[in-house]
Amino acid sequence: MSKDYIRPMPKRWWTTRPGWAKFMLREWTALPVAIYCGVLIAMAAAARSEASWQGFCDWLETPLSMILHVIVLAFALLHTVTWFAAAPKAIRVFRGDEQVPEALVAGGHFAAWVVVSAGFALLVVGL
Amino acid sequence: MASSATKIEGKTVTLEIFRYQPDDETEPRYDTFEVPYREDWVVLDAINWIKDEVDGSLSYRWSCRMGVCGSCGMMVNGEPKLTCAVFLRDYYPKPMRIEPLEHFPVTRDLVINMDDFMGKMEKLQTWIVPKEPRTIEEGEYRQTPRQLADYKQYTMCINCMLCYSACPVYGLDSSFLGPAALTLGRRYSLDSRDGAKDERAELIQSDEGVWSCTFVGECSRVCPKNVDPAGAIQAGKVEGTVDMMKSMLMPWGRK
Amino acid sequence: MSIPVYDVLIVGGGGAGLRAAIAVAQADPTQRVAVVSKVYPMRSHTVSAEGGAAGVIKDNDSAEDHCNDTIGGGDWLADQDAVEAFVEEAPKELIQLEHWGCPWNREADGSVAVRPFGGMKIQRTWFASDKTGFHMLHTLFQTSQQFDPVTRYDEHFVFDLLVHDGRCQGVACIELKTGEVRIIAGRSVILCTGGGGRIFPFTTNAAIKTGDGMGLAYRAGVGLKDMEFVQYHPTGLPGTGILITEAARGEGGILLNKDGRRYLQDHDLGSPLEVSDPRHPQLKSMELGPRDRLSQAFYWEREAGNVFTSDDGDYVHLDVTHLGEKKINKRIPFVRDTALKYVGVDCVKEPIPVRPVVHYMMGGVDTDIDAATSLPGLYAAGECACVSINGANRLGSNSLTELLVFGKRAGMGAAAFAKANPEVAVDALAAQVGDKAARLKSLYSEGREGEASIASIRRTLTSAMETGAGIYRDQARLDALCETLREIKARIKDLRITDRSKTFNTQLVQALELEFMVDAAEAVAFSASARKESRGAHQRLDFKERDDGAFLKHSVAFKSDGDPRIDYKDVSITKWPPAERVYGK
Repeated sequence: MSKDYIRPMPKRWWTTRPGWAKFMLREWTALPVAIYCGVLIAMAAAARSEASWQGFCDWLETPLSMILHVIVLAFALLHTVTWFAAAPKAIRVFRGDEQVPEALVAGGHFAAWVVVSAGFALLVVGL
Repeated sequence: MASSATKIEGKTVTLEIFRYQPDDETEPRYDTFEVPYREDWVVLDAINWIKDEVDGSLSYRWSCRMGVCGSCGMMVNGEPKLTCAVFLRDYYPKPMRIEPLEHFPVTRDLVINMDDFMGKMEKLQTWIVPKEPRTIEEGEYRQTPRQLADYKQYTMCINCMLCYSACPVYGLDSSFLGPAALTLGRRYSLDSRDGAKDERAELIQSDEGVWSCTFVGECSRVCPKNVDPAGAIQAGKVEGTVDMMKSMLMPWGRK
Repeated sequence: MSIPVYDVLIVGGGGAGLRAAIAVAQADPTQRVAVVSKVYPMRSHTVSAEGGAAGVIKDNDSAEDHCNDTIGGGDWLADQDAVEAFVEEAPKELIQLEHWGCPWNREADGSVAVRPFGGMKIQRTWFASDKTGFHMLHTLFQTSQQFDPVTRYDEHFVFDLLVHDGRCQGVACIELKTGEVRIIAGRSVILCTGGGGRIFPFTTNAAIKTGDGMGLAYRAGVGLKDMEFVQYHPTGLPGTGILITEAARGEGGILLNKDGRRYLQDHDLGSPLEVSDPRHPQLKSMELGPRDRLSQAFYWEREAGNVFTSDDGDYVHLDVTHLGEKKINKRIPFVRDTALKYVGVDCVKEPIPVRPVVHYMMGGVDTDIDAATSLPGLYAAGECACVSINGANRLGSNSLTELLVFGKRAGMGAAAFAKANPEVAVDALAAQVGDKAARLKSLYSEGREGEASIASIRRTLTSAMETGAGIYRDQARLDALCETLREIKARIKDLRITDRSKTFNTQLVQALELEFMVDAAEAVAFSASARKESRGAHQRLDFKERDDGAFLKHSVAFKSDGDPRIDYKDVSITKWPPAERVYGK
């Protein structure tokens, strides 16, 4: 008969290690980012008439909206960075017999991100 | 506090060690030991010193003391470590808390029960099922350095279990096959000599397999041999998804 | 107590044990096999072997050459019929491992790659980076899991062989997790427990290498052969004794004394080529001479004051810097990793401090060419056995192959024996164990209030071994060693055991291991004292020459009430009459 001692995980297990806390941050912040989709849907709805569009634009200028945007931007950036940093885990690239270093694969993703973002920025500014 | 009969000259360091003795105790306790501090001592040297000089009843596993047999994994200040590969100087002068690897049942003191892992390896068929059987007389299979590189990193696993201690998914639900076992399964599936990829995939793509992984990523960070189990698991997810898409879009393409 | 009965019972789950288990399971799936090991198989010491495994595979090589190197390397003490069988079966076994998935390094065309090694005239060492033993062990272990007839008893410590009716029929062991004494019966038994390097203070060997199988056989009346031959590996890290593989020299690493001189040239090992010379490293020359000769050269350099000194002992330099980072990372990554971690040296930039370190025991349980011992039903393979293919000095990369070839042979022999001898006297075995089990049980419940601590006796033993039976020996020092061992045998009866738990009692295990260590040490010391010549790894300052007239034979040590009895056995000479060992010419 086994008398092994079992140590259950503490309820707030994610507070016990920085790596786990980081993981939970990523999980939780996914929610506000998802909620932001609601804002975009509202925008689409508002676009149907001139009056509602103006109302939507007015709401955008409220402090509440500003704060929401800053938070969501921060979270979106967090997700972007962690996503690209994780990319080399899922994609192993070989050159010859050697695996291309993870930093290079992640770097490629970040570079592409910058280029695409710059393109969008140009597009927006250009308009 | 356990007392030391041995007088120690010079600098010392404090080790707080998890003790559990099932024969006469139902709960664990912590014993504190003063240990001589030496620049070139690994944590395991300090634990051996305690066993030899202070308390012969302290139980733990160790063997090669060169980071390859995988026996001496323990929690050092909350981090899973091979105790033969971390030095006292990395912690000095702070005290160190030594505990058995987390997420495993404790048999005694620093000794964990690892039956669960052994069973999982076997379930995943961690051996070659030849794609094209070959006799000894026919010589070796040809395998180019590039084909070797496909799976070589995953052969480096020493089964030390540190990754399981770093994995909250395994800690919460031990039915998860876990980082090392999944990586070893993938190692064989990627081998050009193997023909059991599809059989293994059933388990790898099941609920106990890669899809239980939430990609915390700590397994790869604590791995002392840079095996990157998190990578192996994510690549397993990608492969599973691609296979599923293929069979949905081209049901005639698969047998 | 119900006693399980197996056809073949294997003690030890390292390379030899697992190879034997698979051999039996493949040959006849109806035979049941038990692997009883004091650790989980993948923790076995095979895991620490680095450099590679020798086997003739390339067109420029031949069995004749491999025999020649092995026999000369062993200073003509190897049994030549055994060497011929070994060399013949070596490539087949390595190919078998390849089929089971061993990640051997490859040439561009996909064939296996080979590397040069000490004492070998032609490149024939198969390798998996510089973790060959690790990869072989894990391949064998993972492969073994698919065979249903194989039952594992992990973390079971065997403390006695059970002999009845003149046959070995099983073992008595302690299940570490519960402390229960178990009897496991076997129609045949194979010892694959590895060597006993831990009887020395400074060794590459893992903690588990305490000579258990040697002690088990010795107590059962089986002889221990050629025990005086203990191999010092020339390149261990000062302090820890952690091994820096010979592959570092195979790839072109050089040894330098404190003046930066490649001192091997002064010890009859040839003359050095520039490291930039494409012919460097030269096979069977300088740094690629045999291990015994390289370790002996260090001794004389130290005598001459040409070595570095430090708190961790004297050392010389192993320089691989000229290989460059890329080659080091590709071919000897573990060397870089290990040196960086344990001595803080990045070998890409600076030389690694190294010194000779006890590495391997050529001697062991006396077996014939089929791995059978003199006790019917008992077999032995791997480092714990002595066939002998290694003679007075083993060549690097022969031992990994040896455990495959003779592991398989032991499996086949034991399986055949089990078929021919199906009856097992289970009741008689149980009766035998009664007393011993009672003694162990009383240790658990009462402990032992002895005077002597395990650690202090171990220290006395190991330091006496280093002084008395080191690289060079003489009669006075050997006599002193034998005397110390007699004292230890008396003191060990009064060992102090404070751990009274039945669960995972490692102190009790240490005590039992220490008793085995004393057995092995005794055989080494008395065999060395009786061999009044210098041959291979046994070098005597008072008898400097090899004496084929008197000592071209195997010593065999038998346990007796007092000092061991040393007998001798002829060496099998087939085609290679004894000659001078020549390196570097």
